[in-house]
Amino acid sequence: MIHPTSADLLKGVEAALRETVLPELARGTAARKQMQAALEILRHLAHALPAEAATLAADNTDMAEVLASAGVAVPVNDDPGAHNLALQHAVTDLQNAQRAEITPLLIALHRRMTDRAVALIPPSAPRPAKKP
Amino acid sequence: MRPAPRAPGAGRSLTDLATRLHAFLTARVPEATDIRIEDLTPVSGGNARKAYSFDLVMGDGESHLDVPCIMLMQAGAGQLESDLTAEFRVIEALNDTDVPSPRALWLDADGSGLGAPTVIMERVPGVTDILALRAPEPAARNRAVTLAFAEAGAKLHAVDVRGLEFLGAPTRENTAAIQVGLWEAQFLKHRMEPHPAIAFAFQWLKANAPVAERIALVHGDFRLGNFLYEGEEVTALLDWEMAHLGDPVEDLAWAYRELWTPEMHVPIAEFVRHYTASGGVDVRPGTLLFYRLFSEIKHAVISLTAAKSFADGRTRNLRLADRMTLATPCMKNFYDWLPA
Repeated sequence: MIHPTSADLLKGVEAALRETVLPELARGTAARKQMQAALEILRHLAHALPAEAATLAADNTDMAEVLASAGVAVPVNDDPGAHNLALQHAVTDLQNAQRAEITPLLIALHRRMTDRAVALIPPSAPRPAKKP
Repeated sequence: MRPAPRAPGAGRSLTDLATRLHAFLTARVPEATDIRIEDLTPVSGGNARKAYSFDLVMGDGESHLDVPCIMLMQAGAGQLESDLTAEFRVIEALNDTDVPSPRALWLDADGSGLGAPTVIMERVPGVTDILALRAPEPAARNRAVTLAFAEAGAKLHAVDVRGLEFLGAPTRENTAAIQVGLWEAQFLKHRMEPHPAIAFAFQWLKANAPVAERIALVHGDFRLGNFLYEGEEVTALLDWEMAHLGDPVEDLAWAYRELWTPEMHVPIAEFVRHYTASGGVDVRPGTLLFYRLFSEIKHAVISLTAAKSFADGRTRNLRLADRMTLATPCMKNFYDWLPA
């Protein structure tokens, strides 16, 4: 690990811009709105970056296991990002087949993957609502 | 020398815009002998529209008429693909009803007069302030406005839909499926990866589409922040770009999405009861749950569309760049709320 990490750098850039540049931008201007949006993006990236690779790997493993349990050939690819896309296509094909016995497996998979994606969102961003 | 103030998004100065506006209105109101545009000012208008406030002063040689106006101009890519002509016709149709809405005045459908497709409406008194309405205080005022909003919904959904065929011709049986299909098409057009979780959600919605109690004019973006209020009164429902014919329950579900819910002042069950007592449709719990699930997916697709427009370079609005962050909680809600 090289310190400061990429996440540390993003946090530092966000803090520096928030403290030194944002106050110089007049309220209500397009420039200030753009800066505020950029700061939110930096905050999001700094939060998500440390867990992003592990989340991608967990999603890939999860999708591969569901495909295997449904008797579907699991795509192979050494690049995690490309592998993820191939797995997403295979899961989409599987659910398009509309096999009733597979539906609970798919819903459970989507719940787990959605939970992992939510964990990448910084705490003050919108969170899931109460159950109706 | 300082440059003249720019009209944001329109790519020209406010002076130039005022000149075009004067020429446009002179052609539209030939009986007026003296037309003046006063106080042309940019105001907040949303992600894909620029809004301007102005006063139109017209004379006929003997008297003068002062018309407060709001002008909405299309400005680049955003979260939605909208049709200003249909929006104008909807507002125009509401002018003969008791639905609180602005008076539709003029339309420049192709932008040949003003430089971009534009609608001009009467400026209605009131504010949209969503933060104030969601604040704990003044609780009594915020509760009263929320109930008035439910009443406005009941009036909207009681509007005679004959004459609104340009919005389609759904039936009670197929309206939910039509809406699901439209948003699925938007998803398929704008997605940047397969998104099997969203694709599955559309399968579920299509398989569980309810029959509507009645076909009504549905606002499509019926929520806090999209109406004007003054005191405890709702003075105008705004932002009609997603209006369509469909199941009125869709609006009620959308009004209670987490980002803008008034639940802290009026719980949804009470809102629905008040809406029905005010002339709205009877709301079946299963239909409400369906449209709450649909609303989550619709919002996920709007977020995805916004993120795509930034990724494609069709907009430089940074607020749209990270919009997929908003889609994730939508998906979480959908799968948490899905009936077993």
